[in-house]
Amino acid sequence: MVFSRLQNAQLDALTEISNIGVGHAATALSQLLATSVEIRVPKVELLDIADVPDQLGGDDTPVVGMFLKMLGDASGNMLLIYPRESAERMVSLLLQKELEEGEVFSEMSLSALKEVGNILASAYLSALGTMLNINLICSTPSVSYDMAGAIVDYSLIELCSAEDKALVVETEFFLRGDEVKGNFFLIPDPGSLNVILKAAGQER
Amino acid sequence: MAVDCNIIKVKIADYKIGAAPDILVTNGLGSCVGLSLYDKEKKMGCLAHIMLPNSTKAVEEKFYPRYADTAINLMLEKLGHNGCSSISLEAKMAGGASMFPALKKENKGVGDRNVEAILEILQTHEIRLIGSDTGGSYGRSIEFSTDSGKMSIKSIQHGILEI
Repeated sequence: MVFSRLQNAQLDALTEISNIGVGHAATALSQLLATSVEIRVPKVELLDIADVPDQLGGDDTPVVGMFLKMLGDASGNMLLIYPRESAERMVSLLLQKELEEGEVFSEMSLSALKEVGNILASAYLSALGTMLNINLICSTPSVSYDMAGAIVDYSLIELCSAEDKALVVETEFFLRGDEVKGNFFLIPDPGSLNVILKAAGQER
Repeated sequence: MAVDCNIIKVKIADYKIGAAPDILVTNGLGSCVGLSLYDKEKKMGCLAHIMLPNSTKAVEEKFYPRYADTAINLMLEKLGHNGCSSISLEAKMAGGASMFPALKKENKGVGDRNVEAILEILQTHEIRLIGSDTGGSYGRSIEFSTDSGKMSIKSIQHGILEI
């Protein structure tokens, strides 16, 4: 399927499916941290591959990024991007202590962040899979503190041999006002979009 | 930085040409490679943000700037149109990292393969590579001065390096 031929009705269906998925993810996060989590209704957009890094907050903006693969009946890449301060506060909430300078990159902190990534992604995929009656799982997360462009290019490389657009599902979540905020991105592989749309009854 | 110099931004999967005092910039290189070809006589250079090693899977011509082989051809063509001959060109490159080393499928990630492909293609065209900073597991941003031919490479972990 060529992304650029997606119709509005299909984009709407994807938004709706994603909305339920991120809703489940937010509930899981809220239970983990025992605090309320707010999410924005996901945006489903077709972006030029060249514009994706900017959408993630600027191509050389330093961010804490987590990369997971969506596997199973459909495949794709998932990214969780936090501003550094948000990642620090999130870890501090999880470990229930104030962090020292640079401690956000300790093994313990990274492991805590990965766990959050894992929970969010699994909750999202499990909701998506249940709703569509397909099997979706996620890989273990990899984490990096680096430029947003460098973190995302790996996800785009697989897409770019056949596409000039990336379908990006994006949502933002907030904890305790905006003390902690992060962005969640799903970039399905081109071949997998059909699987998702077919399962959603939106096949063309 | 002088006020009158032009900063030309090269996006991912694109290439741009500039002449002194222009500065060519590309940001957030992970496994992608930033490659500059420079004619120091003419003080003219071209910078590309290359994503993949070869164009065998390319379906459309508009994707050519993404691949090492086709991107280098496009760069040479553009520099040629502007009076640079490939004999006088010198190359520098940076990038080709493995951002998530755990995800490498084999020994070689896309970053390594990009660097290898570029080296090979430069050799075929007999273009000298006079500076490079590749590999590792961190992102890089580069600024290429068409005035001095220097490439300044910035990374979060390692600060600024000039080649």
